Amino acid sequence: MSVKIHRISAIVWHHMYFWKRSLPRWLDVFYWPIITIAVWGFITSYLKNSSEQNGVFVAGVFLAGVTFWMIFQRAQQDLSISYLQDIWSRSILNLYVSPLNNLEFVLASIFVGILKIIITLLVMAALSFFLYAFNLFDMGLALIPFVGMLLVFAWSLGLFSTGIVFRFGTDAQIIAFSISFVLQPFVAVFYPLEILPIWIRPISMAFPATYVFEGMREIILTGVFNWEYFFISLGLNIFYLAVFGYFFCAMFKSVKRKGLLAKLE
Amino acid sequence: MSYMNKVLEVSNIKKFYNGFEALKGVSFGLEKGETLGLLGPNGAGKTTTIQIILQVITPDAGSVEIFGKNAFSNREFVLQKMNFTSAYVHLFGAITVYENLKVFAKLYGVSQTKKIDQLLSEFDAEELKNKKVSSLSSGQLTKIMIIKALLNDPDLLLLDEPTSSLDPDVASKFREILKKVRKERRISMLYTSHNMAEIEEMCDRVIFLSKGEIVANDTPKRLTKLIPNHTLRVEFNKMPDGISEFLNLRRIQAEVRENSLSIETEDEAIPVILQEMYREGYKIKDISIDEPDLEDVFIKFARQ
Repeated sequence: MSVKIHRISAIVWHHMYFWKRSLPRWLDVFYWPIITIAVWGFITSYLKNSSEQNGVFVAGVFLAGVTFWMIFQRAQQDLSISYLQDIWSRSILNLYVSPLNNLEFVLASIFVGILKIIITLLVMAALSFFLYAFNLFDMGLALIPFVGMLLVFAWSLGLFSTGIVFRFGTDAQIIAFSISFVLQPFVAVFYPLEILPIWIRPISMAFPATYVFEGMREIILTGVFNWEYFFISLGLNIFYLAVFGYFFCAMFKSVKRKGLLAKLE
Repeated sequence: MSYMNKVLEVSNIKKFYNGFEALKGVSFGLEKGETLGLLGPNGAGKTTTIQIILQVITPDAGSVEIFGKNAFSNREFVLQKMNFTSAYVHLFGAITVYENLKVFAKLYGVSQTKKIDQLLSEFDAEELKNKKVSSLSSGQLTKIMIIKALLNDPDLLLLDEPTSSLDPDVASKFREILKKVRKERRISMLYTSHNMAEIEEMCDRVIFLSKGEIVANDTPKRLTKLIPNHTLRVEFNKMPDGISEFLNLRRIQAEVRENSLSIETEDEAIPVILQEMYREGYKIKDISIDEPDLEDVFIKFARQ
């Protein structure tokens, strides 16, 4: 088998041309390394402080954080991926020439998403219990309102990322998969807000998920349900649902105006 | 034609894409039981027109009435009574034919699964029932797509190049099925295809679109009359002496081959030419006349 430089260079150029026009590839190079370093840096900082103070609860806080994060990520992705599945199979036009409307599609996707979350939650609870003797359900019913807030924010983000996919096609599908990870360092999933640098905190406080994770930790560490966090997350959720819902509708209208629905692939 | 018979009324629809006028005020109607062919070269505006009727593209001007109602303000009502199939649109590949059809039956509010079984049997497709859609051949997929399109007993069926991926045998069977369905259910159809013979076979009327405008709207037979010239082929046992003088004298343009002539001329001139050849005593072995067909009309409009 011979190896020719010109053929290798052709493939290198092939990748470079893609790279030049691809936001996800630039994210791979710059954004994700920064995010990874930031998240693990903040976690390390939190662990260092908490082992001196309240180390006993760290495992619980982590497992609850991971569980909540999974719920959030799944709910967000499920909504976007349900649209992407139909785009990938080139069947989306068949759906939109039927009497089906967007609200019905979104509600159906949310319903399926909830089913999947319940199954995921049960699997995670079982694993946490058998591997780490940590009972997720010990965290109590008080966490349910926060889970609800987290789901609403995830669906709002799902609407936003689906709107982007509608408008820009599958070139933008990476957003559907990664948007939750983009938020991860800011919304204090695995560490409290106070661990973050002061200049990042205003950004964090703009997202309902931050109050959900803060509220979750407070319930686990003190057993107190923080109503203030709950209502702030509720207010922010109403705002994001309205804005991203409007964005989704505007993108869909734009796609119909530009004749892009049939060309989505 | 009474109002009740009007299934579709497209009035003055316009569509711009980045300043390019893709549709320049297209208007036409479709009556109950009628099959209307929408023809035109690539980029003429056929698919845009169909997708506006299906409400997946919003027009910049004009209106579409379906079953006497404004299509855009009665979306659910009109889409419930129509359906669509295209060679370029697929079903969900990862699930079976039956599961796909069940999803679409539910979307159209068809609760009886016996409807699916009845259509699968009618289309001789029962053996595909439990196959994954991704494993179907183009012909099989087209068959399932038409079953999907008939699930809700539509009154209006839009077919965008439905046979483009089929071999002639399967395409012919497909047309037979459509003709049967049309006869039994009096479905109105809007049909696009690049196969002119298919359009002649299937359509009661044809609209030609060119550069976003309707340039002709008539029955296939009358449209072919727009092409005046027929091709008369005359074959001799031996090319007669003096044939060149015969042609020159009558100013007949002809392609002369070894033992035959090919003359492009108007319909009425053919008997005159043949009569004069007999009068000259030419021994004619064979005669054939090629009438213009829709393909000639298509080429004429596409090149204008």
